Amino acid sequence: MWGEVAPRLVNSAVLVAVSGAIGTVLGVVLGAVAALFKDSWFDHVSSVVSLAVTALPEFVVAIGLIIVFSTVVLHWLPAVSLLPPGTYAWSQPTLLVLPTATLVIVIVPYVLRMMRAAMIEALESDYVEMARLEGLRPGRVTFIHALPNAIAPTIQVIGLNFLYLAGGIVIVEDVFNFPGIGQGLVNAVSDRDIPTIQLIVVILAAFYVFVNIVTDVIALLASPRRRLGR
Amino acid sequence: MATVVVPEVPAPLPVAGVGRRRRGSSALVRAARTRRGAIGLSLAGLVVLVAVVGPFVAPDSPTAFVTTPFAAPGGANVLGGDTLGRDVLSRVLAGGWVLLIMAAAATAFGVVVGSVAGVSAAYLRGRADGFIMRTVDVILAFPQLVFALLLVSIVGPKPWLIVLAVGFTHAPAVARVLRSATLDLSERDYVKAVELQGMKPSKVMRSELLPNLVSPLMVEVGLRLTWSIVLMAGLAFLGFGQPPPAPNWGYMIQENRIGLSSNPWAVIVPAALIAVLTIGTNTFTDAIARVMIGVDRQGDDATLASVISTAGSLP
Repeated sequence: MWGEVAPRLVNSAVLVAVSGAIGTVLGVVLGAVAALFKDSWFDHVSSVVSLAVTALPEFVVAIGLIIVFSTVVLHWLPAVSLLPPGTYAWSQPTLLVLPTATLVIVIVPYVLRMMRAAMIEALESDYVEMARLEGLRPGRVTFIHALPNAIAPTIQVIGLNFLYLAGGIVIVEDVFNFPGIGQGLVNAVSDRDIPTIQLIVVILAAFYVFVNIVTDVIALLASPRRRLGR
Repeated sequence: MATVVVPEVPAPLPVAGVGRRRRGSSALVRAARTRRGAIGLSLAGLVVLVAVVGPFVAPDSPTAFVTTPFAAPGGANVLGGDTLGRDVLSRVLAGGWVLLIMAAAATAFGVVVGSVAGVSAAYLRGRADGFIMRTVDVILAFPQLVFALLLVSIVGPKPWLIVLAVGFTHAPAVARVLRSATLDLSERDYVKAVELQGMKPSKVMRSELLPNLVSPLMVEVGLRLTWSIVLMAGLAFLGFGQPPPAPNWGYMIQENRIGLSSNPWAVIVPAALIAVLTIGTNTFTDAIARVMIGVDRQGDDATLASVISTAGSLP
């Protein structure tokens, strides 16, 4: 059983790591830009789009991408992967594009909204005002004084996003026939293969707990205030 | 033991249930009057209308074979045929109401269980608090969809079980939100006052605490409704909804996607309906949250509104 689940686990781990990393960076950058240019057209568009996207089920996003990029409109990318179970996803990198894109689209809005809020708060704070009054260059004020303080509260949401990915891969892997543990779980539930279900659920729960601990530790390291007594 | 004689209280305490309830419903009306709320409400209302009126106006039976598989739109079949040659339009019109009822039932179940757990944990404190919140932590250690799949794998895909499973996975998040809201309330003077009069804890929770929790509760109902629809449609998409011949928007996407290049409408229409519905409910919930917090202007909402909708709505 472990021999069958192990390659799936590696594939899913690659998918979660890649989409989590891209989604986090994209969310932080877009959120910061939205905050810097508050009330600009970019801010309004990104806020409306992210409100809409947070509500979309993953499979609707996935089907939308399939329709646009691999069947009806364009034919650039494979709609489903035809990898046999037990092989690794990076042997055909194009297979990773659409599943990763789906997960990135789904997680970016959360980071974006949190980052925007935190960045606006940081930009309006006294210490950033002080830095400005001292005559520091605007770029230095933004990147050295405001940005790190805005990222600290965003870390919790980034952690939540990785938690979300643990559940999100189940549907996304099923849509793209991606050989990961999510697809393994759906197959096992259809077949009532209880031992496999147990193994995969325990793996996902362990990942959940692990991410929770890592998030708390990083949040602690990132904001000095929380290190002091409770 | 001597009975403590409590003097009759002439007038009801200032925090009477009725007044609070009216404030709650007026917040709904105020939310519907904002631009965001009106857009959300009309989007969701449109889809609900399709789902409710649909079964009565469908041109064909949703299970009758009337055309060729994946027939292109045209003639008698406005949206073409599906994977078995059934009329897509009829299946779309007939396939929504079960999803809506199941999502509403799961939301109601989850919010009731979660509120009871959260309010009791915060008010009773001590061992009850520890027990309830540790149970919540354990359930929260599984992704919602995975937990629902786990329950389905034990009993099999029965509609009532899916409702209970999805509702049950909502309860922990609701419990956490209401617990922190109740912790604030339970130290207030009016709660202390009725406690001193000897009101039973269950009555205090029901008639003094609950009416004051309407605001966070309404936002929770909205968020959980959106997620119920997402989870229900997702489970149906994976094949854990109603058994196959019955039409269901989630499962239609699954069964028709192999014919995407011949008749994409069999996939696009149900996917678009689900998308419009969840975007509508989420937008309206966002409007309620904004009204509750008292920020109507776009610019000032930054911290509070986005914290509520960010932290609260993740599954």
